[in-house]
Parts: sequence; structure tokens; C-alpha cells
Amino acid sequence: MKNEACSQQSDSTAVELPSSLTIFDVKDFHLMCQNNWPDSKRINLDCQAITDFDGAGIQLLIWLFIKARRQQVELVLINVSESVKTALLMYQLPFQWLKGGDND
Amino acid sequence: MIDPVETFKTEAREHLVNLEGALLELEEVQEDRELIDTAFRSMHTIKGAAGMFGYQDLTDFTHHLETALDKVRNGEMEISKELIGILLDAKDTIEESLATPAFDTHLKIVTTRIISRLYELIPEGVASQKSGEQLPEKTQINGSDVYRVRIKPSSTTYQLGLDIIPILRELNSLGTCHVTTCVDELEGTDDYDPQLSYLYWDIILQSKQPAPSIADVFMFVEDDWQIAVDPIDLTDGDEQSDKLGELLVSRRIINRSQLDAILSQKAVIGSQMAQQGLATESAINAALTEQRVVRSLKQSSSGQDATIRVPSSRLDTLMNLVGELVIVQARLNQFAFNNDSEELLSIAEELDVLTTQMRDQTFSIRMVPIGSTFGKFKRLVRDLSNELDKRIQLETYGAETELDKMVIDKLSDPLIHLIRNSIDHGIESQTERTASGKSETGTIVLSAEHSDSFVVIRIKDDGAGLNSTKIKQRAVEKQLIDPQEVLDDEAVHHLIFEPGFSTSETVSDISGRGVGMDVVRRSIQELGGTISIATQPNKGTEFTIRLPMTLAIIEGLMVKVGGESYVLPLSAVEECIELSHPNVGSHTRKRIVEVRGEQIPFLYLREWFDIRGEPPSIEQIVITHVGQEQFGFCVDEVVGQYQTVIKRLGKLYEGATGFSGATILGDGSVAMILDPSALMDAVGENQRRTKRSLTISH
Repeated sequence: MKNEACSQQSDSTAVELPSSLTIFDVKDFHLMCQNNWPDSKRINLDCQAITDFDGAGIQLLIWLFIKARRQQVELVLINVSESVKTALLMYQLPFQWLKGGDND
Repeated sequence: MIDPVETFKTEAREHLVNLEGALLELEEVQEDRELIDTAFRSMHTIKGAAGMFGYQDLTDFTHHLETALDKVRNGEMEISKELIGILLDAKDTIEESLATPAFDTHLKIVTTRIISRLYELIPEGVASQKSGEQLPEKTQINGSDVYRVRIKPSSTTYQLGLDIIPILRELNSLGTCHVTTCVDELEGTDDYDPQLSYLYWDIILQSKQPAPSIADVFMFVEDDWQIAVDPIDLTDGDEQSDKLGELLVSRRIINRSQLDAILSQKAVIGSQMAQQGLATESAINAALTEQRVVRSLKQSSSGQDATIRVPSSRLDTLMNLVGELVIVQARLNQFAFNNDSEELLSIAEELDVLTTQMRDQTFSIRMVPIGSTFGKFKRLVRDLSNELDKRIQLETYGAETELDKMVIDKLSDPLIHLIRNSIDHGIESQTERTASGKSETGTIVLSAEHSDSFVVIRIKDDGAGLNSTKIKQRAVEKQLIDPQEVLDDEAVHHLIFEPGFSTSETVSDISGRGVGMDVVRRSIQELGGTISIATQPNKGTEFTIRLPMTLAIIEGLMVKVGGESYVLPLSAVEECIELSHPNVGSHTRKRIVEVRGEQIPFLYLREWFDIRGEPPSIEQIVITHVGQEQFGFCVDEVVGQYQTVIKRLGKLYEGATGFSGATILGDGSVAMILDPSALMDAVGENQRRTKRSLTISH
């Protein structure tokens, strides 16, 4: 990604998620991800800014993880708020990455 | 390790007991759906288990019986006396057949006859049908129902303003959710549109809420989403029911023939299905989640009733070890007390608490409800009353009363004797009953209840009652008493317990051999119990058996007489009082003491045991009770409460009256355990002869 949402560190790239990840935002963020997907072996998705999300937003995160898995990229959620964590836990997703949560 | 085949046999016998109980009750009530289901389930389980353990003949036999019961369940066949009779015979045959996996010639003949009799009753055309219908679903575990919930939102759901998150939240609030988010459609798309919905969910929900409350969650989305809420039968005993393949078939992800084809390839079923594209990884994961959850719930559910099969010999060993531990504990207590070490005393006290808890827990393991033996008595009454052409009903009460398993096992034969006697000698024929103004049907009441640390069992009939004249006459004939001997009614009635006594004119298979009642009394005495009789002419007879709940360890009150220690069962002790006016010149061993205005007889143990030497200046009387009667024992000193491990007396002491056993004390010495009831009887007998008594005012 080559915009303000990405920041490159030594061996990983951090991607900041927008403050709102709902049906109204997913199209833009999806487009941004397609165009600016970082070329890194580890991508940290920073959830700090998220204040609003819905099922479409969670689905988009899942799609990102499926995409990362295909590309053998390690995708980790960081700075996960309680509300996001609760939603993800309700989905009981099979991916190990959820355990990486918090401030990894 | 316990042999699985032995476990099968044991469990089969338990199912047969349930089957018999249900059949006997059905014979009376006929329309009870629960009883029919119980009988069917028992037969169904025996059939299934027999097949698993290679009892093919038994499987085939029980299949016919199961079919009949299935017809009863479906209302295609009526419960009749004939049917119950056939099924009871079948039950006996099944019990017999457990000895060997293949039927011998005798069993083949018997089972063929039973099946023929059965087919004569089964309506034409239904006998050969397979009993394939499942039992009504029972899904409750720990008061909760378990559901399989499948949610598939429409693709445009988010655009319509609908969302899965509130739905998941609400389902979580209804109970425990095990969610599988199925992502296969998301994984499979090359043209992902983030505004469309691709995910769907498989949820195993364990909830106490009724099904309509679960349906309410989907009130606003049900028109747009695909929703399925199906209860899961956790009581399904079929071993196959929670296998992955079966779950995928029940979820309609694959069909039966696809499953069979996969199974024939003998590979890991999940990966095979995924490789062949029969089921997606998500679908397999969802089914695996259900398998894991359901197995866990089944396990926890079965744990509710907590049954681990342990050979009773191991329990006996455990009980003996606990007994030894109690003795060592007593030694430690004494040592700690003598050494005057606070730390040692504290350790001994803590250990004492633990030992007591361990003793109580070990006891409780051995306690079983007496009702487990009631079933066989119902059958006994049914069969014998049919044989004697009498109408008799057995009423049972207090089936939940718990008693040491060893006591229950040993009690079975005496109870059979007593019930047989009630049927044979007690209850009159229908004609006699009608003539004496009684109902045609006689009643035998078998009841059990706790009373202090004893269990009281009563067998009461509404028959003719004991005939004192006839008993006395027979006793004289048998030279059990002198013709001139004057006996009160109670003493006459007790003659029936004398060896060789019988008033029956003929020897029958049922009773009348004259070996029954003395064996009954001896068996009960060996169990540390007593038996008494109450009878009224034309009203009936009641036998009351009083038994200690356990034969292993009791709480005792240790006393000293002439330097020797004795133990009285604490459960019988009411109070201890000082005896300050001993009457040295008495010529009888039984005396009277007045306590709060009541005159209580007491036994001067020094005299009873012929102990010489000076008694202490102040002696103690331990007041005990046996039933409603109070009786005192005069001792030198009351030492205090003592956990008493009962050791049986050897043959050498068989003739010693008044002792129920002995115990080993902390210092290794032996103390005899006094039996208040036996001592009372012995003193009473003595008194009848001496006819003297003395009153001491207290």
C-alpha cells in the first residue's frame, strides 16, 4: 500500500483500518486493499481507529485473511477494541490469527 | 480391567430389571406411555448391545420382541395379560441366554415357542416388519435443549440493512453457542463484492429457552434468510449417530450412498469428502464442531447419574482399608493425647476429620436404594398368586431408602421367604376373603424407611393373621414346647422362628418346608438386625425388620466395666446418668431406675458379666432405646464417643449372647460391641424365669 494507511517497518507492514467499517465503507476499503496490498510477509491490521462496524466489515476482514493465507502472508490484528474482539469471538473463526489480537 | 462382555451382561441384566418392572406395572395400568417406552428402550438397548458383543441369536430373538413392543407403542397392538406373560417369559429367557453368545438347543426351542406365542398375538401383516421407528425425541440435557441452527443470509442482506451480528448476539444471550462461520463461498469467489453477503453459519445452541424463543430471534430476517432450527437428540444411544459421516447426512450435505462410497475407501473421511468436492471444508468443520459438542454434552449428561462400574470386591477392600485407617487413627489420637504435644494433637485432629470424611464417603459409595430389589418381589407376587389362584397386589413404599449393598444382597432371601409366606399362608383364597367380608384382592405392603441409623423394613399383609392355637399345637407336636407351658401370644408367635416349625399340612414348592422362618431370623440377626411380628386374627400380619445401615463401622459410645472396654452403638444411646445408690443386695440382673418420672429397666453389667471386685462409688447408667422401648446399662465409667470398626466374632463366640461384634482399640486391645436389643431380650428371658424386679429411685 502506498498511502497513509500503510507504514513499513523492518519485517512487517502495518495497515490502519478506518474508523468505520460498515456496509457503507467496505467498498472503498476493499478497493484500497486491492490497489495497495503491501508486499510483506507480515501485515499488522491496526484496529485502533475502528469505532463502527457491522457484518459486512467483519466479512471484509475475513476476506483479507483468506487472501493473506493464499499468499502465505501472516496477517495479525493489533490494537483490537473490546467491541471488535467481541464480534470476532462471536464468529468463532477458525483462524489462529485471532489469537494474535490485542497489541501484538 | 473389567471384561467388556461382563459389562454388557451386567448392563443387560439392569435393563431386564427395568423391563420387568415396566411390564409388571403395564399389566396393571396398560395405557402408560412412559412405561411402554421404558420397556421398548430396554429391549432396544439389549438388542443393540447384544449385536455388538456377538450375541447374534439374542439379537435375532430380541428383534421380534422389540417389534411387538413397537407395535404397542404405535397403537397397533394392545397390552394384554397374555402379551405381558410372553414378554416376562422372554425376559427370563434373555437372562438365561446371557451365559453364552450362541443359543443351545434348549434355548432355541424356548425362544421359538415364545416367538410363536408372540406372533399369535401380533396382528397379521405387521409381525415381520422391522421396528425402525425412532423413539420420541428427547433432547434435554441438564434441563437444556440442544439445537442445530443454520443461518444463511441472502446475498444482499447488508444492503437491505440486515446484519448477522445482532442475531449472533441474541443467540448467545439464549444459551451456549458453538459457532462455525462457514467461509467456503467467500474463499471460492474470484470476484468478491464486499457489499454482498457470502458467509453462513452453523451453530450448536444449548439453551433452556423453548424453541419458539429461538425462532423469535429470526423474526425480522426469516423472510429473507434461510433459517433452520433442528433439535438434536442427545439421548440417542446409537453409537453411529454422532459419527462425522452420519452428521453430514443428517445435515443433508451428502446423501447416504455418497457416505457409503467414501466409507468403503477406508481413509480419513473429512479429507476424502473435501478432496472429492462432496463437502466443503466449512461444512466439515461445522459437522466436526457438532460432533465435538454433542459428544461432550452426552458425556457430561451421562456423568449426571454418575455410574462407574466397580467390582464390589474392590469396594469391600476399600472399606476394609478405611476400617484399618480408622483403627490407626484411634492409635494416633491416643498417642497424641498421651504425649501432650499440641502440634501432634492438632495434626491428629486434622487427620481425624479427614478420616471421618473418608469413612463417610466410602460408606456412601456402598449405599444403594433398596428399591433395586423390589422389582423381583413384584414378579414373585405375580407368579405365585397366579400359581395359587389368589388375587394379590404388592404395594411398595420407600424404594429410595438406602442401605449398604452387602446388607441388601443378604436381605433378599429373607424377604423372599417372608413374602412367600404371606402369599401362601397369610392371604386367603378369593372365596375365603369374600366370605369374611374382605375384598377379593389381598394386599401385601412392602415398605422401607430410615429410623436413626437403622433401616426399618415392613412386610404387611391383610390376610388371616397368625393362628396362635394352631401354632402352639404344632409346637407341641414338634416338641418345641412343653404342652403345659404357658406362653403369651407374643411368645407363641415367635415359635414360628424355631427351626423345623411349620403349620403347613403339605410341603409345597412355595413354603411349608419348615426351614424358612428360622433361616429368616438367623439371616437378619447375622446382619445385626431384629425381626418382630404383629398380627391380628382376620386382619393380617406385619413383620418388622430393623437393620443397621452398614455392617462395617459405627459411631460407638465406649464404656468401661471392671477394667474392660465395651462399645454401645451411639445411635441407640439416649443419655447417661449417674447411679449414686447401687443396690448391692439384688438377686436379679434387671433393675429399674426412675428418670424424670419414668421407670426404666436397666442391666447391671458387672453382674451380667460376673465381674468381681469393688465397683466405683459412682456408677453410670447409659440409657438406650430399641424401637420405642428404653433400657439402661449400668457401667463403671463412660469413656466417650468412639469410631468403631466392627469385626465379626469367630465361631468360638457363636453362643455368646448380647454381642454384635468386637473392635480393636487404639492401644491394640479388643473391646466387645454390645447389642442392646439382644441384651434386652436375654434379660427379659431371664426375668421371665426369675419373676423378680427391684425399683431404684433416682
